[in-house]
Amino acid sequence: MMLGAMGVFIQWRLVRQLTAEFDGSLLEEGQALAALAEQDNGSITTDFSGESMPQFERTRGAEVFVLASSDGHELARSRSLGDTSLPLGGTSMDLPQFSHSTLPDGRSFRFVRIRFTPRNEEETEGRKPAGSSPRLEALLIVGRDEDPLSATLSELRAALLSAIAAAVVCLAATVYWSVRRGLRPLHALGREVSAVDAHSLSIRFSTRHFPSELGPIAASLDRLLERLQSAFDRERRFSANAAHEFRTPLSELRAVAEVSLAVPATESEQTQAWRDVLTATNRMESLAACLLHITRSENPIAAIERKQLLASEAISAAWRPFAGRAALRGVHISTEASCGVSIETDPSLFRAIADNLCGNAAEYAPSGSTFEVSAEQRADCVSFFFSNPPGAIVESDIPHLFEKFWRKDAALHDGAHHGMGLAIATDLTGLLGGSLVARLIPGPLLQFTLSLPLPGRLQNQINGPA
Amino acid sequence: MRLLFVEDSQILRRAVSKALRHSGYAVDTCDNGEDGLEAAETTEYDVLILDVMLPKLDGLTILRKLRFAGCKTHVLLLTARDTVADRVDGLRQGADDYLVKPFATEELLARVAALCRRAYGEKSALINVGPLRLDLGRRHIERNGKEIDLTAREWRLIEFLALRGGKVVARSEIEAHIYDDLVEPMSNVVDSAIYSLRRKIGPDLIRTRRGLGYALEAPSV
Repeated sequence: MMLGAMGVFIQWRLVRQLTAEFDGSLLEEGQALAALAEQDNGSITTDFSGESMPQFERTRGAEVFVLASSDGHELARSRSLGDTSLPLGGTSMDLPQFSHSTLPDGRSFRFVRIRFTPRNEEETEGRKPAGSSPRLEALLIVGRDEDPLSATLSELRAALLSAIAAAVVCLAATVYWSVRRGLRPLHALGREVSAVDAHSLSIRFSTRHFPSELGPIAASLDRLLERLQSAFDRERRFSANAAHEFRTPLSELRAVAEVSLAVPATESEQTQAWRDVLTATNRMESLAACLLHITRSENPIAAIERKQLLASEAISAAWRPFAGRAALRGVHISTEASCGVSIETDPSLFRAIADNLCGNAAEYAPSGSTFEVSAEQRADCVSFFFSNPPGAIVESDIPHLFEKFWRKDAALHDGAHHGMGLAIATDLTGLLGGSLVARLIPGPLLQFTLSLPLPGRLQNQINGPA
Repeated sequence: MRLLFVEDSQILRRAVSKALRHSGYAVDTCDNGEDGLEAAETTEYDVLILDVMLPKLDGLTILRKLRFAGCKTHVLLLTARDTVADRVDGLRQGADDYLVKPFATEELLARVAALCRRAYGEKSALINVGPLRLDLGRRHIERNGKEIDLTAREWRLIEFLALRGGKVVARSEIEAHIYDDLVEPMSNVVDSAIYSLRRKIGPDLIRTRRGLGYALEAPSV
């Protein structure tokens, strides 16, 4: 587009310049002819001689002229004009006028019309003009064939167009080559990114030899790959752990089945074998339920129905199923008055979280210890504190408490605990927009802090001792 | 052959030890690592079957402690860990074999049998003692081509004597290797088993060395 505009401009300038030079030359010739005219005794004559200006003498020559008096009476004409008549209309004395005209024989001419006062012969000779004869005006029309100019202009136009076309082609080729060359690293990066799959997430692009312009993209891709690799590793660990957890009950089932088929058994042994099958099946069912729970808790689409809930009642209900087991171990619950807080949350999710924390306390708190539950209202959330002596848990265990399949004693295969309870509780807390953290506090006590945000309509009602 | 099976899963412990006993092994069991280590240190077993993930003390730690103490008993590791790294780690710690859960009971029995043979330097599953031919792999015995039907306890005894290659085996040694903790130490189970075995395989193959023990030998011509 720019090249086109530039071409048009250059052509316009050239046409103008050449036309101006053409006109200048034509005007000079006209002025030379005008200088040959003189008036003497009320008439206008011209000293035009074909010898000095032979171009006007050729028949159908390229240059013509007509000299006329101011009243339109033709005084002289060039032989080259032949019989062709030219309009002898008036023009001003001030400026010569240029015009185009096509002669009847088809030739295209450019004319200059000059109105002038021929010099007086007597004045020229230094004599005083006789009498008071009026000063006569004359009209000179000089024309020149335009074809050479038109041809020159056509050639220039053609040359310009060719140059522009060549420039456009060169520019397009240069741009194409430059873009291709410039995009080559990007294509290479694209190919490498396309080749990345689940098994090659450890690749890093910033270490490759890419131009510095691609540095930010490579760094961003690396960060994306790091996140993906982390997620894949986490899922692989989870899948491996889940498969690992299933191996033991599967081994049990297989061994019981194979031994039952291969080894004769008494009636009591057969009964025991069926009991074992049932136990292993229950264990797998429990494990499958945990896995399903995790899948659902990781699904943000899961519907959350918030209702007003009295926390102390929910905690008591959560403790109830574990109370018998806890009593056998001498573990008792102590719920502080602050737990009488009413919160707006999803009752089933809150109950699931509380179930897990209560179950852990009933199972793992040291015998004879107290499981303390309290709450605290803060500006933007309500925090619940579940505390009991840490037993075998030490500081280095704290970061692992929420890992899926983590157990303090990794070998415990009691069928009821898969090491996923706290991981599930954390996920459920996340669904509620809260947090669940663990820490060892002076006492020493292992304290879980469940913080739930206050929704808009949340209100606290401290109801006194629970 | 006397085995120690250390496994925390009660179901697996019960089923596998039943299969092992049925195959003629004397089997002691433990449900945690500490008890397993103590049993392995205080009793002479032909093969130890250790679960890797055990309460109190894991199987690899038991293995390390036993090897450090100079125990050369063959060890078969049982585990749910199935990666190459896990298997390599177990074998480098001194295990003789490695079996991943869930496993086929038949495979476990075959591996245990192979370890028992290796324990006595016997690579072949076939042992010939005069007219007697024992197939340790199939638990089959015949004399002059005629199959002999033995009880599990009788098989354990003849297998143990055969693997000793004609050497004299003390009664206490037989008690230690053939009978598990369920047998009263003062009982005359060895005598009764020898008597029963002689009735089935013939009186000329098991020699009594007064005050020393018994030996399985080909009858002198």
